Amino acid sequence: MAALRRNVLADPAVRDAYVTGVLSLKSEFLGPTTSDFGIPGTVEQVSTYDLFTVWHHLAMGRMTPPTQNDRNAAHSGPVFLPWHRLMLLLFELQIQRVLSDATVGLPYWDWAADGALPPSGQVGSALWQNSGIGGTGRPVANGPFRASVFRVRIESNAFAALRTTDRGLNRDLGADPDAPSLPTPASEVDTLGQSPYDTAPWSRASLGFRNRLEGWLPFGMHNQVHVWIGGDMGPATSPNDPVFYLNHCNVDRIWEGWLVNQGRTYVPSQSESAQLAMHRLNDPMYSILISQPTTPAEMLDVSQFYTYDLLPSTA
Amino acid sequence: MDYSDFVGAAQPEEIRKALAANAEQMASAGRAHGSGDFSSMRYASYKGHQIMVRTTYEITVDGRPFAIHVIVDNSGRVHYHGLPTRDFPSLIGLVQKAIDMFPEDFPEPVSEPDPDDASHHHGHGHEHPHDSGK
Repeated sequence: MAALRRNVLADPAVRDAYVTGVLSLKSEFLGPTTSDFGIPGTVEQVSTYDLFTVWHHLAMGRMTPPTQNDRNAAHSGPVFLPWHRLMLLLFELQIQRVLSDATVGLPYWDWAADGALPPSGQVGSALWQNSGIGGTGRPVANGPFRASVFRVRIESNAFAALRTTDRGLNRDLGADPDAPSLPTPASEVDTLGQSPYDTAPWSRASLGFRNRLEGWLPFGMHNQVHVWIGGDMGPATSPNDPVFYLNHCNVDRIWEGWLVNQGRTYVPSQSESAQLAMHRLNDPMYSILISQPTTPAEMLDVSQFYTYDLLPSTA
Repeated sequence: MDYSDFVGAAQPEEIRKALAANAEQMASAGRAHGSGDFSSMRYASYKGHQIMVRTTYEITVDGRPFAIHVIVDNSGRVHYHGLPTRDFPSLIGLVQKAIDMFPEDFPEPVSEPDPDDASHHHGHGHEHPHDSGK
């Protein structure tokens, strides 16, 4: 049975299921330790939740190909959207497992709806209240992921290396002058109108839908949301903040809206240069959490896994 | 893969198997991204000419090396893996943001502060115990 992904603010039960699932995965330990990841210091167990954070960090550091330093195994290239779709799908299956409910879908945060508000209203949105996922702070002091409940155990340092820690979540909502507000509904409509999916040089410099939604050209959308939230959403360990999944679920929802409108197409094809390995249509995507090879082609129609309650409007 | 394959792959035993199969690359997670050659290469074609620009930065903060791999794009903007969802028009701005984001990695300077650095006196609204230079 396909799960239904709903707006996190649609119903308290949607938010509650997500919070319960996250906290369960944060307290589950399947055996891996920090030593397995080469993280210096005292050896500690790594939770199931934190395995996803480490996977994201590893993907960020895997250059594709290693001879350049722009496109990596999950970002700044065509695979950005299918890779994160795979990551979220596996995370959603973990939440379903620990909740024993195969109908639970990841919630999304419709940040463009908040982007229509003035900046003060954006920071005061329902998402950031106790009844949402808590607000801003170093550490976050309210909501279900406040410091007394939710601990960050692995973080990136300034050199983009992992280290252990034991602290609450950090958020600096709307405080960065480079992103004083969220993306607007108009920017979402503009993004949905972009075509084709991606173009050469398949990087941060590309024209097309993927790079517009990722937020490199121009700066905006997904990247803008990371910077607007700030704190733990800044480094490669950004999945440390549970809002990471709400952001990416919305990014995935926008992609799904684009696929519905423009056709379930993807480039680069498999006939493109091997320099694009891990980004082509039938290349296995980078993962440490699933043994079976999974390709971008397999991520183009995921209706057997989940659907959205509402796709973004194109007008 | 179909639905049942993915559900099966999400089971703890399957995750352990996947991790075991990737043990070698997992062990690199504790190392800094982009270590090795810290040069950034840019390429462009112009009127049939092939342009290559190699850029290498030497960065110090309070006299200590800040050895990061800076990536420069063809418009001159700079980027690094420590802050992966943004780039900067200036490397000074990048380093300033890194200091803001990773204060643990940049201990308070012990030398006399620059009197022209307004942020040192007004930027954070708290006392700096070393500012007296004692």
